[in-house]
Amino acid sequence: MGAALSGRGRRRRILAVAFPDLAIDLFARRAGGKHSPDEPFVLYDRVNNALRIAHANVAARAGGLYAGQPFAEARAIIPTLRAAPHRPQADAADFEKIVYGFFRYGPHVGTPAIACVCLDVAGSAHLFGGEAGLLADLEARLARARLAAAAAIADTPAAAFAIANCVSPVTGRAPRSAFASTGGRGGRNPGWRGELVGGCSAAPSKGVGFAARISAPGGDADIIAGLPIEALGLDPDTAQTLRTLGLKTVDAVRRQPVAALTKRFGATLSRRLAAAAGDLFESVSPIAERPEYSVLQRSPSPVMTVDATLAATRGLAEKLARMLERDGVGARRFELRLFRLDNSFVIETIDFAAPARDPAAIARLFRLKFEKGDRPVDPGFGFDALRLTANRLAPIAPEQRTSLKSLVDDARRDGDIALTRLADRLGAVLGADAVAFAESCNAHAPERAVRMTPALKGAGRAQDWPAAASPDGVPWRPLFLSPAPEPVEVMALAPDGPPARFIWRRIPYRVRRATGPERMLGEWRLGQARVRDYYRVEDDAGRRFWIYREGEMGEAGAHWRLHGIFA
Amino acid sequence: MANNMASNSRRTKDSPLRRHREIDRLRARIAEIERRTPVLADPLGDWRRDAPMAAAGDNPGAYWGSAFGARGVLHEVRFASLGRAQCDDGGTPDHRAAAAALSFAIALSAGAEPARAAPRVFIERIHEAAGEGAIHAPGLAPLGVAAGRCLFVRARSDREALWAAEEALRATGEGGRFSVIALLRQPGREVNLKATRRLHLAAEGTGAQCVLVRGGAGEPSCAPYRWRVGPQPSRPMADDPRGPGLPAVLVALEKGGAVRPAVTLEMNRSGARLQAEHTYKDEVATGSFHPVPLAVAGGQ
Repeated sequence: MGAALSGRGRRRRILAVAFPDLAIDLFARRAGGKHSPDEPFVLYDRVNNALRIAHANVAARAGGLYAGQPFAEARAIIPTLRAAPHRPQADAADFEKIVYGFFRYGPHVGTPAIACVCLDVAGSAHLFGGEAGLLADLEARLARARLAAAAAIADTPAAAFAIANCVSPVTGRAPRSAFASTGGRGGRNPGWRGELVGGCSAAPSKGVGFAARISAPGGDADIIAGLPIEALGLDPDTAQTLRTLGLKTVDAVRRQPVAALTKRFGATLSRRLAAAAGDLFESVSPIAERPEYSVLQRSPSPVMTVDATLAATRGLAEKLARMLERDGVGARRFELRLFRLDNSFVIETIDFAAPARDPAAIARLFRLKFEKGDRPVDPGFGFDALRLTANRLAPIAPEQRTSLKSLVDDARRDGDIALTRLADRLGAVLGADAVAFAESCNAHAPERAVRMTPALKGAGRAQDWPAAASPDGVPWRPLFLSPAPEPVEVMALAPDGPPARFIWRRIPYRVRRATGPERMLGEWRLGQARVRDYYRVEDDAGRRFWIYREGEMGEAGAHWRLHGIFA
Repeated sequence: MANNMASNSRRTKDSPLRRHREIDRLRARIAEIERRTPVLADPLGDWRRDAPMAAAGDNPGAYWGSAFGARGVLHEVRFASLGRAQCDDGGTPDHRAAAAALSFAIALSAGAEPARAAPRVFIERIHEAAGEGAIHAPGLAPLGVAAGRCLFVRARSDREALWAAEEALRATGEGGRFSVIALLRQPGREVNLKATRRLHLAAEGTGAQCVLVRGGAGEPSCAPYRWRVGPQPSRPMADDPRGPGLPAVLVALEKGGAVRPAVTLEMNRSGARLQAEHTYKDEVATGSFHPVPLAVAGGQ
C-alpha cells in the first residue's frame, strides 16, 4: 500500500464527491419554488441546429428519456414533459461557488472531472468527528443546498471516484447488479468494511439525495474489484467493448494480462486500473494555492461598509505580519476572502514585486484594489468573516545599515526599494502586465534584445546593459522600436547600399546621412533564416530612422522596412 | 506665452518671423483650395530658420536659467503636428518628432547632474506604443538613462496614464523620488487644465519632476513650463562623418522663462549641451545642405 502514501510519506484519505444531476439541481436552485422535481423535466441544447436533451431528471429518465435524445422524440414519449434551455456558463459559475465551499473540509481541493470534487481529508476529518462525521456534515450542507451527491472516502483519488460513481444518491445502492454482489460477498472479504452513511429513503420525493461510502484504510482493492468497469471513468466505447467481451467488473478486467489489454485498449485503461488499485500515484491538482499563512476574523455583526472592511483588513494584516516576522519571511501574494452573510464570497488578490509583510503596504494595496479595481467590492448584506492568506514566501533579511556603506549606495538602494513599492501599487490597479522592468537579453534580433518583465513577477533586474553607442556617443539603437516593422518603398540606392530616397507612410524622404550596414542574422530556429542589413539614416529635416533590408541586395524578394526612430 | 509672441510680432511688423508665418499660411490656404492634403511643410517652419547660434556657452542651464531641469514642477514638452507651423494648432501629431521630444524630456529630467538622476518612470499608452513604436530600453542608455532602474508603465487610457503619473509623483517613501515622463502622443479631452493642475500639485508636493510629452493638439494645460521640440539635423562626427551624429533637437522655451530664441541641443551619455559651433544656418549658408521643397503626398 506504499502507493497510497503521498510524496511526503503521509497516508492520504481522499474524499470524492460526484454530483450526478448537477445541471438539473442548479436549474432547480435558480428557479426557486417554481420547479417541481417530481415531474419529468429536461434541459435541452441546440446541437447542429436541432434540439437535443442535455440533462434529464430522475422522473424523465424513469420514463425512458436519456441525454442526447432528440427533444421532439422526448416530447412524443412524454407529452407533459417540461423543459428549459441548458445554460452551461451559469452552471459553471454556480459550481465554482459550490467547490469553494469544500475548503471547509480541507485546503487541497481539486475538480478532476466535470461535476466532481476531490480533496484530501487525512488531516482534517477528526475536526468533524471522524470521516463518518465529516460525511454527515457534508450531507446536511448539501441537503440545504438542494444538491444530489454521492461521496466516497478512500486511499486514492481513483478509488474514491470509482466508489462514488457507483453509489446512487437516489436509491442509496449501486445502479448495477455488480455492486449488489459485492455486498453479498462482504462476509468473505475481510477488507470490506464499507458502510452506508447516508441513505436516501425519502430523498427522491424531495429531488435531493445523498449517499456515501467509506472504504477503510488499505481496503480499496477489495471494494474496487467488485465494481462495474464503468466506475473507472472510461470512455463509453471502451466500456461497451469490455462489457461485450464479458469483462463486466473491475476484477474481471484486472485478471487479464496487462500487455494484451494495453495492446487492445491503449495505455489509458491500464493506467486507470493501476491508479484505482493504488499501484500508480495520482495527485489532486488544487484549484487554489494552498495558503502558507492564514488569519481569520469573524465578526459578530456583519461588516457593512467598504471602509470598515478595510479597517478589518488592516487588523488582519497586522496579525499576519507578526506571524511572518516571527518566521523571518515575507510573501509576494496576499489573498483576501470576504464571506457574506448569504454564503456568497468575494476574493481579492494582490501581488508584490518583492516579498513584503508591512501591514500598511498590504492595506494600502487592498484599498487601491477596492477603490480603483475593475469591480467595486459590494458588501451586500454584510461580511461576517474575513480571511487573509499569504503565499509565495521568501525570506526577508532583517534591516541593517552599516556605517561603512556610502550614502550614495544607501540612497540608490532606497530608490530601488521605492521603485518596487511603486510597481506594486501601479500593478494592483493597472494589471500585472502593465508595469514592467526592462531586462537585457542576449539575443541578436533587436525585437528580442530586451525583455519587459512584469514587475510583479518579481524577477531580478539586470543592471548591466551593453553599450549601444559608438565611442562618440552616437546611439546604435533607436529610442522607439516598432513592434511591427513597416514596409518602406526605396526609390533610389546610394552606391554602397543605404537608401538615398524612400517613401514611408506615403511621405517621401531624402536621405542626407546614412551609415551601415549592421548585419543581423535571422534566428534559424525561429524560422527566420534571412539576413537583415540595418542602416541608420537621417533625412533633410534631421529625422533619424532605423531601416533594414531583409535579404541580400539584389536578391529576389528582398525588401525594406522601417524598424525604429532615433532621437 | 502665445500672447506674448503675438504682441512681439505686432511690435515688429516686418520681422522675418512674421513674414514667414504669413507665407506659410498662404501656402496652406492654396493647398486647401487645390485640395492637396496633407501639405508637408517643414512642421517647425520659420521657427527653425530663425534659430540663432547659441551665445551662452554650451550649458542649457545657463541658457534658460532655472527653467531647465526645474524640479517640483510639471514640464510640458510639445512636438509639432503634421503640416502645421504651430505646435498648438491641432491636427494630427507628427509622430516622427516624438523621439526628439522624448529625448529632450530625458535631458530635462536629468537636470544638472545626470549621474545622480532619480529613477525614471516612463508612462506610455498601449495602443500608441503598438502603432507608433514603443520606448526601446537599449536606446535609452546612450542618453544617459540606466534602463535597469526605470519602470515602464503601459496605460490603456489617458485616465490610467494620468493616475499612474500622479501615483508615481506622490511616492516619496523610503527616500525615493522619481522623475515621471509621460508620453501622450495624442492626448484626449481628459488631459485638460484640471488634470495638468493635479500633476503639477503632486510634483510640487514632493519635489519630484513630471514631464508630459505630448502631441500638438488638445486641451489647454497649466504646466508652468512649456517647451517646444523638434528634430534637428545632426553634426557629422569624427569617426563616421557620413553617418548621423549625436541626437540633436531644436528646443524653444515657450512659457515660463525669459523669451530666448530656439537653440539646438545635442545629447550624449553625460547630458545635453547646446550645439553652438554648427547650426542648421551654417549648413544652409555653406551649401552643404539643401532644404527640401514642399512635397505633396500622392502627387508623386
